[in-house]
Amino acid sequence: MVPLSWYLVFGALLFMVGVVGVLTRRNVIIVLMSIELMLNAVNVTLISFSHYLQDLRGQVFTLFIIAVAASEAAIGLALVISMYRGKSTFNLDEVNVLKW
Amino acid sequence: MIFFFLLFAVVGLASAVMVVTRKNVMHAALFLLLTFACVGATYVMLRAEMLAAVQVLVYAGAVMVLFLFAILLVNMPQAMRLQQWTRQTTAAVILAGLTGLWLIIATVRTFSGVEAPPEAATQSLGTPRAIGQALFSDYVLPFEIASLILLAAMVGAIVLARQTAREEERPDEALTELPPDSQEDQQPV
Repeated sequence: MVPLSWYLVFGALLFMVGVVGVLTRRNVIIVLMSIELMLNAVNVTLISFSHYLQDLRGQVFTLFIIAVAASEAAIGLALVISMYRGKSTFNLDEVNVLKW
Repeated sequence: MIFFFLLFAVVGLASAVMVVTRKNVMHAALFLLLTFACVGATYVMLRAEMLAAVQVLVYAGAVMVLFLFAILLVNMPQAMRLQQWTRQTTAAVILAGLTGLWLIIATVRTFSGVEAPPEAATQSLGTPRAIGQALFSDYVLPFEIASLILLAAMVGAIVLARQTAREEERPDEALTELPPDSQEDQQPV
């Protein structure tokens, strides 16, 4: 059997890769993909705890996280397309209308 | 079991790194699909078959199709020409690496002795029946709120798309609405 800590390390490494993607990339679509990676890492952690504690709550929470992630992806990509039509750019550094 | 876990974890992590480092957005999206598949495989190994199916349907299906639509709707060569990395790249990598190292040390030290109970290997906890019963008994309120969130996301996406469509139609509106305005302006004169 695989120990619990291996799954948790897998989740932590996946989350770390997502954080690096959010902080370092300028392409807004790749930033959204990195957010999905981070949500997946959280899901892995919740499901591994659910399995090792034999408790269903982790899986129910994961279901809700998947629902929220799907709506977040829909809204985020609608914003990306709206941003591309308005400013015709992908670059996050050029979208600074709220910056002063 | 350990072999399959290592296989899926290594492939999933490697493709996640490829998602973050690729210049071509389409390649990044396809590597993201591979990561979703590997994460779904770990769900199967954790005996969460229902959630593995949901992962494949929602992430590998719906979310990936959304990403591919968004990528195909915009100008890819322009996106590949722009500066790919922000200025704080090294600082961000160091910070995320330290945070991840701290997380790994904390989890390994806290949960290193935890083993699955013996009945976990034989019986599946997350059957559709069990999850459905939990959703409709203990978690009815979060379930309804999740449906509201999905409705709000749907309405929001449509509103955003309509706004951009109206901006594109504006020249036509100006053409059709200008003649009556000019006539009304001319009548008093």
